[in-house]
Amino acid sequence: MKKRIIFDLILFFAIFYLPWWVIAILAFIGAFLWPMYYEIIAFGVLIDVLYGANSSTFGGLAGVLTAVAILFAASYARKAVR
Amino acid sequence: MIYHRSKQGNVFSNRKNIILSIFIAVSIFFLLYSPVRKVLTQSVHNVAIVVWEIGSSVSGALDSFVTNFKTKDSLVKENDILNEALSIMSAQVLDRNLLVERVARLEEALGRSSGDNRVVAKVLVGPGRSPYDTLVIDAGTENGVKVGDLVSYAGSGVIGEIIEAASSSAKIKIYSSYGDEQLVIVGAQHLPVTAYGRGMGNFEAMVPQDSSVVIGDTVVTKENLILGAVTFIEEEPANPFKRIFFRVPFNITEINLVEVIKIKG
Repeated sequence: MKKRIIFDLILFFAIFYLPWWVIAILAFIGAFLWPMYYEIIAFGVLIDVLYGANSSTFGGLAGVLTAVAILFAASYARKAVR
Repeated sequence: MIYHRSKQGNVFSNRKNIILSIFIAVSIFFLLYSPVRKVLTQSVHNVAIVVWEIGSSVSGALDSFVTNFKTKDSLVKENDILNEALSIMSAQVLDRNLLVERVARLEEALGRSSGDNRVVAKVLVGPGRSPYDTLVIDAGTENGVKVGDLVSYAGSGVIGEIIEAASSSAKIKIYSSYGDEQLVIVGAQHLPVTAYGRGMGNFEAMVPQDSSVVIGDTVVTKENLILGAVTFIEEEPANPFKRIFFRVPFNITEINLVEVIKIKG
């Protein structure tokens, strides 16, 4: 649990300072390590609110949609590996 | 041997999926419903500005710390290069000031002086960081910035427009974002074409084969603001069109300050 909170904090600050593709990689690692890594959706919302607008690509939902995709991809990857 | 999945496990898994679906649906609703999104943006940006300011101060402190370890020789060389760049720019600015003066005089004579109202803003988040290819600046509705205002760099080069404004911050859509369409005017012939963004300050457009567009031709927006200069032309004799590539005249990743041109009305 402690590791997860630390990872969440890293991901949270990464959203403010790092490029989006680094955040995507970190989010995938999180979703791969922990099943039910639902906070990834909240991080997706944060990205959309920080950088997107309703007039942006995918109606400003790119963050949430990518988060969902990462969540499913990581879940399949976990099943394939274990 | 056959293993049966426990019923309890299935129920738990279904419940997890329901919770996840509700969470996603609520998130999407919040983002699509403009009033809620506006409130979210306003509150998140209030915190974000502080976080970005701290980050920028830390990075500034680190930079000055690293500079202390640079060799004297490299600093002298860097100083020479910068001095040269400065003298070139001073000459260009002189030329530009003369042109601005001339344009103002002509506009006055024609009785349509523009005298646009500009707000200088600091870039908090540069391009390449967000998946939307947007910029975030530290000026918002409190400074008179509103959706649709144009954003220029170095006085004349336009880079994008305001797509969302909070009280003390705003988001800028960069015109060169991949796939973004923009009506532009190319060269001395004033050729109107549709340009497509190719990311990081690059654009692409198609012009008729017999048009006299050459490398270095200026590309302006319909508001007569410089968007870039033609850098490459790709032509095939069999094709009735030739492809032109142009880019903004500065490095878009190094933008620190921008000017928001307030659109009247």
